[in-house]
Amino acid sequence: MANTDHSDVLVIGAGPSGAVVTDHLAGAGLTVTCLEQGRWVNPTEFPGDKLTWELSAQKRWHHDPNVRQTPEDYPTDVTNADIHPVMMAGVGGSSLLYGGHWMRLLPSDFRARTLDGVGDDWPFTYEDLAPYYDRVDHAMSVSGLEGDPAYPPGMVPPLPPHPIGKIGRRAAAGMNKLGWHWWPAPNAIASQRVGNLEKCARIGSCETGCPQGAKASVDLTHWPSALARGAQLITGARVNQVTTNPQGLATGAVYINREGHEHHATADVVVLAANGIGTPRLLLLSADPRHPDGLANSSGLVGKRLMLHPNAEVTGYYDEDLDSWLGPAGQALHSLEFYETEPDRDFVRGAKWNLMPTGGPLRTLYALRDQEYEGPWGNQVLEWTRSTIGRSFQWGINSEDLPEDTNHVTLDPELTDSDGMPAPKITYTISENTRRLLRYNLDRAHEAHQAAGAITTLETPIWEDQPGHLLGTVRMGSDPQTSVVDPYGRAHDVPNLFIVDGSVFPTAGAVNPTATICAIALRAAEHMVQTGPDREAS
Amino acid sequence: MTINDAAIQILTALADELLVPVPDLPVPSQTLADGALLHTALDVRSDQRDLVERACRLLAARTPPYARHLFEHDNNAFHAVANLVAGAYLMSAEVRTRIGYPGQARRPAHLEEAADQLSDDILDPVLSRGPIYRPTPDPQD
Repeated sequence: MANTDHSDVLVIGAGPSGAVVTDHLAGAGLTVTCLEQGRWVNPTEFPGDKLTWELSAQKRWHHDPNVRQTPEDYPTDVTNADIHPVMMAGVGGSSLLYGGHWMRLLPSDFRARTLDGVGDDWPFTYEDLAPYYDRVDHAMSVSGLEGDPAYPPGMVPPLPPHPIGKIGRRAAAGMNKLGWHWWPAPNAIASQRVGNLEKCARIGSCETGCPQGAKASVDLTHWPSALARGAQLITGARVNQVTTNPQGLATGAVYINREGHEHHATADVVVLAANGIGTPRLLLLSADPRHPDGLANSSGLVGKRLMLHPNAEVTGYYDEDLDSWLGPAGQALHSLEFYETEPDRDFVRGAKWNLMPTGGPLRTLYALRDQEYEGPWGNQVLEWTRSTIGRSFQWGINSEDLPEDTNHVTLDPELTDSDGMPAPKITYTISENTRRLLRYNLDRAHEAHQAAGAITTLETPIWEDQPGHLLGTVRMGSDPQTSVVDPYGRAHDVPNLFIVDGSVFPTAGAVNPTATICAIALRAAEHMVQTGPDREAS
Repeated sequence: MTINDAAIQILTALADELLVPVPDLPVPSQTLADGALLHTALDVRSDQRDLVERACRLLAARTPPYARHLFEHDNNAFHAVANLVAGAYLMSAEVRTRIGYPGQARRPAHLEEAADQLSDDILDPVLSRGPIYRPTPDPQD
């Protein structure tokens, strides 16, 4: 086994949290090496501005690694999962294919146990995290509008909002008729050219990657800075073990490069940023005689409490041209009308809605998928396509699921990745609370479309391969018996091991998590720098 | 897979069955007749090659109509072929023009467009409600 040069810090994963941490630590003068199993992706590779976009999105640029099956992907066993954990390997991680919906958790999300008697309280508040949210908003050049009454004052997006478009105007009219909250949505998509980001060209194919280079994926926003500050990034490096010494400290990680050779990268501190599936998988893979249940797992919680934000949607079809292929996609509006728990409902917690365009003509046929043979095909297909293209929009529903030990990530006994490493096995059941929550929100979304004048509405009650929010499996807390990492992401069992991705969420909230993941990662990185001299090193 | 003439005949016939021609839109079989769009679609979905070949073999000895027979005897192949011919047809420039779909092209907003769309009273009902979030509870609560 070859050795990679020793670093102060070894980061595993080059997605949002790994990039934020690497950039900050390198900027503080530390030597940082990041291992990423994927590769760099040039924005020109993305299919969204090409004739074959919709067909490409079905396979090569699908967000589910089980469908995509590129060499960088590892499979997941989802035979016992109601929701598939979608993700992307590469420099930028899942930010390469995310929609750029940039939402903060709400104050109540940090106090779910205190306020609603479910889940757990976070070890810090919205106000504690707000300064970090502010900083990552700027780093990601978030475009939005100040003043959203669904949030405390003080959230000021650095760039102006995107136009809400005809779909936004029409949807807003319906929401206003009902007296429901909506707001021009914040997006990590540059509305003006800034830094390494181009101005958004509204191609509308954000979730298959941005060919314009306007969407804030961290390969554009953070990695150039990190590399300029001296960080080393090794791509094609698939980590299969975090190594430790007899004193119980992390010493580095073993990885396999694309030539099949094993290397050992050593460091004084190890940071895991491999997402809510990859991180627990790696901790479990790192089991050894000293850690028979996996690394950092004295609590038994590694891999447990998986939360995935079950998604649903209602598409409304209208009698006017709405330019509903026009981006960003991205979100034109969001609504937090049904976000907070209300005592007169038969469920707790809530959902965030996002208004999105509906893309191209092949997508219009998706609406007919559940019909019998004579339904989707034959006489009505072309007439349906012609009459609906450009005349629809979608209210997406991002629901909060609660942490449950029975939803978890384990190592599959049979399925492996291309390097022979056990794949993650996902066990996830949508709870009764979440099902009621989704049904309630679906019914309201139909109402919202009807209020906006929709001719007809069609729903997707559960989106099995959305949204790729991978949370909760290495939860943070102050008590080592009920948490894996402390409030700064330091593993209770391994004092020089940090975890900075969505694994650490005690509860999921109901908003897109990347803003919070980045804020938490920045907070953790700052803490690492501040406490470095006092910390044990291997 | 190279789509030979026999396969093109089958696939274009299927296209007319699945995407029944309507007035003012190009006839699917004519749009796909030269095979170019079918080849483009199959290049992108080369993972479907085996299913498309299987469909063509199943239908080679038959005469049209093909679609229901394929649907009932090889449902997986049916869906692969349906997606292929629909995807190919909808890539046609003429079809896109006729259905009014300009493609996912670059159309950057002009500088004032976002402000213009919010400059009337559209946000007033939202703002007039005031805050709707639950604040962080006081530790004393």
